[in-house]
Amino acid sequence: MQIRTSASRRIFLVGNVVLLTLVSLACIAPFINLLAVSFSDKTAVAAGEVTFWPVHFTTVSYEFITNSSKFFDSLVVSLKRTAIGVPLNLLLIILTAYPLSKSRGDFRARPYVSWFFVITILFNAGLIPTYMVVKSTGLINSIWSLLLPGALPVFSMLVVMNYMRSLPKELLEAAYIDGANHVQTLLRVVLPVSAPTIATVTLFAFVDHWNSWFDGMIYMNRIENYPLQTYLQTVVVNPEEFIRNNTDLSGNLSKYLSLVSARTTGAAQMFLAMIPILCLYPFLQKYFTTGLVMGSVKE
Amino acid sequence: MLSRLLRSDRLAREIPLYLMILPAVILVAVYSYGSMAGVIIAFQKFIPAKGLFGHQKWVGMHNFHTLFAMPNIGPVIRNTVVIALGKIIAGIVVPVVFALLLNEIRSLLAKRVFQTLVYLPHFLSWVILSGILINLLSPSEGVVNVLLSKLGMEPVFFLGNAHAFPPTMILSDVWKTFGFGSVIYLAALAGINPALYEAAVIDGANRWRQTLHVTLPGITPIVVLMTVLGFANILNGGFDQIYNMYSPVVYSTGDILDTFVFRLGIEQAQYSLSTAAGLFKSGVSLIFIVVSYYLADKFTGYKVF
Amino acid sequence: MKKTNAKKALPHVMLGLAAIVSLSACSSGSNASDSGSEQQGSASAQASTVASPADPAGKYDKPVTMTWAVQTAAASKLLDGDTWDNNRWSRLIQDKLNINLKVAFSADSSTDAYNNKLNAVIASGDLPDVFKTQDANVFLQLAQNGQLADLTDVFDKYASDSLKAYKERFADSFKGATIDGKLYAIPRMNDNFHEAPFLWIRDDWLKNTNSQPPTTIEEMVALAEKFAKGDPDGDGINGNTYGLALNKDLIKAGHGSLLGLAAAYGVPGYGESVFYRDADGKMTFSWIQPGMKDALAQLADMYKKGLINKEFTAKNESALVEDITSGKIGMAYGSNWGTWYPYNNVYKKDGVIVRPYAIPTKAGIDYKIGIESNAVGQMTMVSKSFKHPEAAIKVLNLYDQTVNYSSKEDYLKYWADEQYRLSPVYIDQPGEVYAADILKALDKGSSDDLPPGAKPNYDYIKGFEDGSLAKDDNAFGNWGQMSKSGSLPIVLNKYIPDNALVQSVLGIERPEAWLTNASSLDTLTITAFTDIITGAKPVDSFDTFVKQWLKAGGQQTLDELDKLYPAN
Repeated sequence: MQIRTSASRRIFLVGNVVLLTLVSLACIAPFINLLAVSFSDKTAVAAGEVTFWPVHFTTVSYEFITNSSKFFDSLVVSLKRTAIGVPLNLLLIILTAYPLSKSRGDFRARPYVSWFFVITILFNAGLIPTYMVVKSTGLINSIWSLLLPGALPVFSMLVVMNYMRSLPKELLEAAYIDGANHVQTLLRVVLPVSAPTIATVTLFAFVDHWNSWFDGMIYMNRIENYPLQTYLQTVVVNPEEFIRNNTDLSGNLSKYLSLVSARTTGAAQMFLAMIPILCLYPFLQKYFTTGLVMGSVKE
Repeated sequence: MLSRLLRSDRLAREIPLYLMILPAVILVAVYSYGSMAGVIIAFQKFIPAKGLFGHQKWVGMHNFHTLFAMPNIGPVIRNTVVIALGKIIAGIVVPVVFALLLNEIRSLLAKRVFQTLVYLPHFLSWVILSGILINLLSPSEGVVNVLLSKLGMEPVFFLGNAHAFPPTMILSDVWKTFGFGSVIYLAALAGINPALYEAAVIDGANRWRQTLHVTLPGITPIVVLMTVLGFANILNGGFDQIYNMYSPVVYSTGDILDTFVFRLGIEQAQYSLSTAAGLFKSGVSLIFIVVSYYLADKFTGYKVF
Repeated sequence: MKKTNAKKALPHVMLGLAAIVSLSACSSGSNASDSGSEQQGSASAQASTVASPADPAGKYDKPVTMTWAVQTAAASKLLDGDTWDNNRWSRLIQDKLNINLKVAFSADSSTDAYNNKLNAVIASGDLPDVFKTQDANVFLQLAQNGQLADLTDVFDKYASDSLKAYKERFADSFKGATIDGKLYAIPRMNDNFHEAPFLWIRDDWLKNTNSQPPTTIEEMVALAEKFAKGDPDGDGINGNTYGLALNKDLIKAGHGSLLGLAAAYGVPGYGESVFYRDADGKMTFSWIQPGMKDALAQLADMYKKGLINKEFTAKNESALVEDITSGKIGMAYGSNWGTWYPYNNVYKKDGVIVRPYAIPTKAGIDYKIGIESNAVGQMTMVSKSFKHPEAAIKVLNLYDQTVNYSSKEDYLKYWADEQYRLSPVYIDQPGEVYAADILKALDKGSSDDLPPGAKPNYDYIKGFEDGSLAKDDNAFGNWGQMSKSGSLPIVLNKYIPDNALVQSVLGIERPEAWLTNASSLDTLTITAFTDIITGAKPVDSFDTFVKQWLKAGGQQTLDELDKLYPAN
């Protein structure tokens, strides 16, 4: 195809590239700044000299964090949470999506069960009643308070259900004729072909568990049991507290006070908390995109 | 006899399905429906020691009367709607424009690079993003204000000034969401039939006219859909974001229903009042959700469920 | 679980015996117990250690578990490998009383976190056995809802004579913890005179700018100008320092408040709670006084001139501390405990003393200093569902014995460096209330007549002055607070003789209108003041603020208070 590019078109194309480049860089600039701050000297940071490159490069903020048991405690809680939470989410998603993907003839309760789940998206009971239910099931201060109340992510389940529904009928019928029961059909036929969708909702679940902070703040009674993001929230709200908590009264205080500030150590902790997301980023980008399009733009 | 056999056979075939959904049904019944039942405390003078479903004193609509007599409830509702509306509008305009511009880029590599850069904030929590913004926007030490002052401008107290706070919330929300929000529009753009462009070229349309007559009509349905669906969120100002960045100085323009409910319930221990406020929000939201889903179905034939 | 407890119990019973012996030994005047030697014990003496039930120092036969709420705060630290679950106090309490402490929840009390967590826990109806609150409304609600143990009888029965003496001495405080004649909490035992504000200034900045401490508002403004525009820190750069520092909470006690400045304009403010009868006997509230308008006009003017840290609206007290420590701030209004925190950091880092001065005054205006009623303050409460409410009193006895009547080593181990916070019940702040006694003792040069609780303070002050404890945090803290150059003598020798103190009438009985609206009124006040100072609104908007305040529940509060606390 031959399209003659006019002068105005060329100007537009160049301008467009410039504009998009600026916008993209603006989006990422805050993170570069964060990284630069975490590796900078505190006085340079306080003077506003640090933009996109560390000033007086130092790793002392990261060294300082290694003194903090709270950071590592909360990291462990978060790792535990994702390690249990993501498989649990998946299990319930699959176990729920499969029956609901059946036709009404095969599973007569389907519409009622669907509504039963959908209503929970439509109506939110609010803070206090939810807290009290979690409390009365004995989960307060237990990691299960972060896992059980949201164990079935309804939106993800709907995505998987829609996908399973779109599978060719012949596939399932063939399995049925071969004498496979539901569990066998699910395991041998449905799941293997649903892999991309499952990957999508796995990543949804991971990001969700990794980023949640509010439930930790409300349900966890001990600071040691806070997940990483909840702990980070306390750092964001009261940054100086971190410095104080981790310097003993006698010796190290003055040594560290002259080297690190709430801003540099805060930046270092936030950057560390971003690492898992950054590692998974290529996958997140790919599968979230398919997931989002699948969930929102249906045929 | 035969029909009964058939039915029992059918039932037998269904039993595993029931067993499969059972765990989820139990969990949802307890945690979602259990707490829904708990909203009764909005109609009680709730004393915690007596328990959620204990023998509480019923007060009818009293808590709602108290709630709507509070001097800040009006501003809170207004702030919620203003901030949410700003986010809905900006959350459509910016991604659409971005998708259109990105669509003009022919190099696949460049496209991917741009996408990779702008999607990132979407995957990070508001805790981290707030921490970054608080430092970035700090009046004395933040890079933004340092740059402003180098340009000879007065520093702006983005988070400490009641006028600047709502726009700051809307813009930072755009930062987090626009890149990823454009995914849907890019998909819609990719779905436009190439034959339409070819026909336009044959008719002598330049790129601008093609955009006007082919591209825009091509994505209009999805834009309409997203707008309509957006109104389901009219009372969601964004708790995670605002809670981590606001302060009493900006309550007058930045306090939203969710933060208000939180402060009433958790900071001030007014459990019944807080639940009443939450119930009010959920009730009104439900209406918006149902209406917007209905409209989505009516205008674009899109069924959410 | 059971098995472990039984096994564990044996050696503890032994330790209990030793504890009783050593406690009686120290109350009879000899040296304190050496807890190190008690760690080993045989199981043979089990039978003889059963204490009689009403013995204040007695040990439980069977282990009693006490759950409690931990306030982790700015200054509270765990030393020597202690944890919140296993620390010097938990071990002492277990050894001497056979009470096993268990942490119900912990949260940061220097932000809203502790308060929020407590409210969530209250909502769940599952209170810890022993817990504290600084919020009088929470205390009142819990007491009225019948969720607190009535401590009246157990206090009479179990409290040592020493504790009973405190109750006499701090009768006002105990009155605040008493509702309908029943004692529902161990109160903070204080005379609130120490809530008065001071102006804290860095010694070196005064010297570098050749200045005298200001005694009038005009002098203070002039000094702020020198600090903000000049080079008080001597780093060769003009204007990288602040004049007068404020924090965003403005009216709350602490460093960087405007309390001291408002006081100069005859506004006796302290947080949200100073209600009092004016000269005409009319019930009124501090922040709506006409003098406040002039005070705000003064601050707005200073702000405009760049004499106030521009971004104060974004800094709470602890954020300000960072600026204080890093030497950007040389002058701020603040509370009496400045040398304990945050100026101890400056002293440690730069060796510079930041000193308290009486607030500068305004010619022609009688300054007024607002303080809270003695009846309010931190309350330590016992849940009604706790089977052993007397255990709280026993812990308090043990605390009093260990900190106030035993050796210097015990004092250092169990009280100093804020370690007293590890005890679920403690005698809150006995130090400051002895300021007058300590001043007398310093004049006399002998601590003989001092109450036992005040003797260590005396030693610290002496130690700091003669240089033997110049590097000691506690010595610096005490010195800045109670020596002749300290903050509290200013109250005793100036504020009180000048008749400047105005004490709030607001005790524990509170009007409904105030309970519902206190928080929004508070926000309204801070917002209005911030807007005026930063110039977002004209000074005249103060009149609108007063109208709004009265309308949004303020007038109703005043009317109800008028009836609740009739003039005598």
